[in-house]
Amino acid sequence: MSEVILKTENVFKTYKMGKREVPALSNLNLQVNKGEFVAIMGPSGSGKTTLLNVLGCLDKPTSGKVTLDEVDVSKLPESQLYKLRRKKIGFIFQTFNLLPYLSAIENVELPMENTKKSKSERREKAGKLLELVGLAGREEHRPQRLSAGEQQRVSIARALANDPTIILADEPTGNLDSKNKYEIVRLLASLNIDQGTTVVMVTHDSQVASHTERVLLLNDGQIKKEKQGLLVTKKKSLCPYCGSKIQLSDQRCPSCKKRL
Amino acid sequence: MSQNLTDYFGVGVGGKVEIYGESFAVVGIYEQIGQGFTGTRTAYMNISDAQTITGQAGNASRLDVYAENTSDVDGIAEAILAAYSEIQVTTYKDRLSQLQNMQTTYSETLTNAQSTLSQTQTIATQEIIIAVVATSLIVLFVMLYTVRERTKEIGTLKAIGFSNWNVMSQFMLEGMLISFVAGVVGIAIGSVGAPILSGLLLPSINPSRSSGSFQSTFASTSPGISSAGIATATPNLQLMLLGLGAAVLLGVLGSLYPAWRASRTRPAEAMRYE
Repeated sequence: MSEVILKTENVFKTYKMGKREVPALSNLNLQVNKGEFVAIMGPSGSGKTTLLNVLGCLDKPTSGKVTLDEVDVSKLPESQLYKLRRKKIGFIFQTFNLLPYLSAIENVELPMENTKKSKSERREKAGKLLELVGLAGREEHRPQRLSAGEQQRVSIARALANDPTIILADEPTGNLDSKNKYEIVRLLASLNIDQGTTVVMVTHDSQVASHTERVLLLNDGQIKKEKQGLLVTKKKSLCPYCGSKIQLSDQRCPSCKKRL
Repeated sequence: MSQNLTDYFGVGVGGKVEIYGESFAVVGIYEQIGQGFTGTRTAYMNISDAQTITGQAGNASRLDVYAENTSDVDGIAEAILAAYSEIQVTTYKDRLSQLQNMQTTYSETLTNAQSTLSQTQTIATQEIIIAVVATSLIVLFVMLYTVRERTKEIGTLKAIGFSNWNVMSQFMLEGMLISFVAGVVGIAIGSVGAPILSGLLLPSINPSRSSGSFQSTFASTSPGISSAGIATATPNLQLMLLGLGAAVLLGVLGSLYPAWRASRTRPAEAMRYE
């Protein structure tokens, strides 16, 4: 169970602002196990996005080592990295980043575009994924005809397209109202429970973060604190508030009526 | 009597023809000489008979004088002119210079036409070069703008696993397609507009204008010149395909740099929120 899938060792990242060097990450160490749902929290400017860029092979650390699925990715050139992102990482963005001129299903097919899958296989897979995120029947809708919550569901389906080793979500609830916010977190949690997908989510919303297994607090480019999330008890089918038995599909605890 | 005349009357030697109301017997037929296009229909008869039937007793409209030696021609002409000051004397030399004049004017007209044509061609070439440069620049700027506007989209594509080459070919294809559609639209406008425009513009560069009054003389004899007067611009399939090919090529040329720029977009741009 405790197979490490993502690991950073003494990672530093500095940006040059003119002549000044601004540290974004300084000696950052973290580990994510397979099947875990981890939240990274921190105030703005704490290096959350930088960390996610480094974890997602979108940016290289200035120094240090990043290991994804037993591969040291910190030294790989872009000609290798894009393949890694395609196969092993699913991205979820704050602003969804769907292509406006493509339908929901075409957006989900996009990451499979340059893989060996045939056109019909891609379509079938994309259809299944849209069904999984609760968007059956909306396949042909363009993003602007979908609500914000639905758009984020499409982007979650897109992130799952190539059966990634890990899902990296950057403020996935940042542009959503509270109702959609919980639905998206619930969806990510159920993917984590049912499919065993590893999820790393960056957020500044402590409510949202608390629904994961482990919350890492980032400040000044370092992990300062770590605490357990509600999902740990939920995974044992227990209510995290009163300890009574619950079903994973329950929206509220049957005994204490608190939102799960 | 010339053969075409006996053919006209439908008579042979010994047959009778009626000229000016008088009946004449055909005593001989001569074949057409030279290659006159209208063919001179000629009947030879006794001069007194000719004077009588035409009512011109004692008059002659023309006298042909043949010299035994070409060197005598000028002397004879002068002598005739001295004796009869009221008549006009024309020697073969005069006719020769007349012919030479005609030739000179003819070749001048041709040169004029050719220079007008080459001027037009030079202008056309210049316009084509300007059009080519302008088109590639327009494609370049439009594509650069597009790439800038879509930085986040490109970043996203790269984040979800598109390679530099995937992105580059995507934008190249886009530039090519846009140019192709533009080319088709251009051809459609050109096919409709060119005949109308040529009707308005072409007469001003018509070479037959410069030949002035001489054109009327030549109109019947040299069809090559007179046909220039009805030049029109008509669309032609080969030219259309060439235009379309040029459009696509320029599209590719203009998108090359923007597409390259797009391919160099950092994938981290996907995370940028404005």
